[in-house]
Amino acid sequence: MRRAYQGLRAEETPSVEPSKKRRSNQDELPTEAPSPIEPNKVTNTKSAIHTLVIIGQIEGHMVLPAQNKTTKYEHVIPQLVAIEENRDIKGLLLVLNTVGGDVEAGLALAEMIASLSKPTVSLVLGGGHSIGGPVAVAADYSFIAPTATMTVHPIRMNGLVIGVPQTYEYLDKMQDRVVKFVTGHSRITTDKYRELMFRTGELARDIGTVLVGHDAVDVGLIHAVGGIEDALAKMQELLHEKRKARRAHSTKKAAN
Amino acid sequence: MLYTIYPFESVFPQEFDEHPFIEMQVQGRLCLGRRGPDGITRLERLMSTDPVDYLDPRFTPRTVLSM
Repeated sequence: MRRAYQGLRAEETPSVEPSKKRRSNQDELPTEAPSPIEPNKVTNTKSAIHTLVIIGQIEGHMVLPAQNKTTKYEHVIPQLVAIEENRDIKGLLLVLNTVGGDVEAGLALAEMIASLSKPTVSLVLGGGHSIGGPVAVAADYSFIAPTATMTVHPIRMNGLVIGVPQTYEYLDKMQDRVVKFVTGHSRITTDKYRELMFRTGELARDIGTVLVGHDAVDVGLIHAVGGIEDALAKMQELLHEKRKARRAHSTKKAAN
Repeated sequence: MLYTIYPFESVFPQEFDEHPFIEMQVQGRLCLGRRGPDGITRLERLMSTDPVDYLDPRFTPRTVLSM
């Protein structure tokens, strides 16, 4: 970090000189005191752990009106590809505060995260509702803030429905995709997840369950309650395990 | 198909925003900007996964962008 900064300053010397001359009367000021934010310094430092923030509605096939705060499929999928490809990026931290969104976009995102070769840790802050559930459990290890909530409820359909049995079957298949992903990537059982999904008496306008912090851990949906410190500590642990496994693999290969 | 806790009416309101977001590249990073009623485009959101980018004052939300 230090070396990169010095290199940059050396390159920028000609452009810095005139401003120094203009401020010659300020020479008495301590030269060692760093300014609070040095733009050149921060932009040339790259983080090895990248962060993907999933906020608002997860937007998929349909462009949502501008009033919605959205996380767009076409932005996030290429970013995940870039994270997988870039050797300098060692891990991915997911921060979720989402109200749900498009089923297929959410599942696509979740599948991309689950299939990344690099360690992934998720942190649910505020909310990880509806399709946010599969995205949260897609990471290798998941955290939820003590005050964060996750709503588990059935998929609904709005507007005019033509052909009720067919629509019901279609909805059921969609729901199965969500249930299979969540149960396949967390400790929760299919029966328990479906029971939470169709529970009555908890939500005023809907059936389903609101899980607050510890509740999500108790039912086996999320690994632990925690915050940013826990998430980054877990990331370091996963990175260490990965390095150890790689070393063991190369030693075994060399022995053969 | 939407799977969200928000009601349909909230996701698709009757009144539409006159100042939609504009996608743009700022210093090589994908950003969302918005032209306000004063005709000035300001940065609304940085779309980077590198947390260091968010410390850069050039990407402070509401920064005026020259178009």
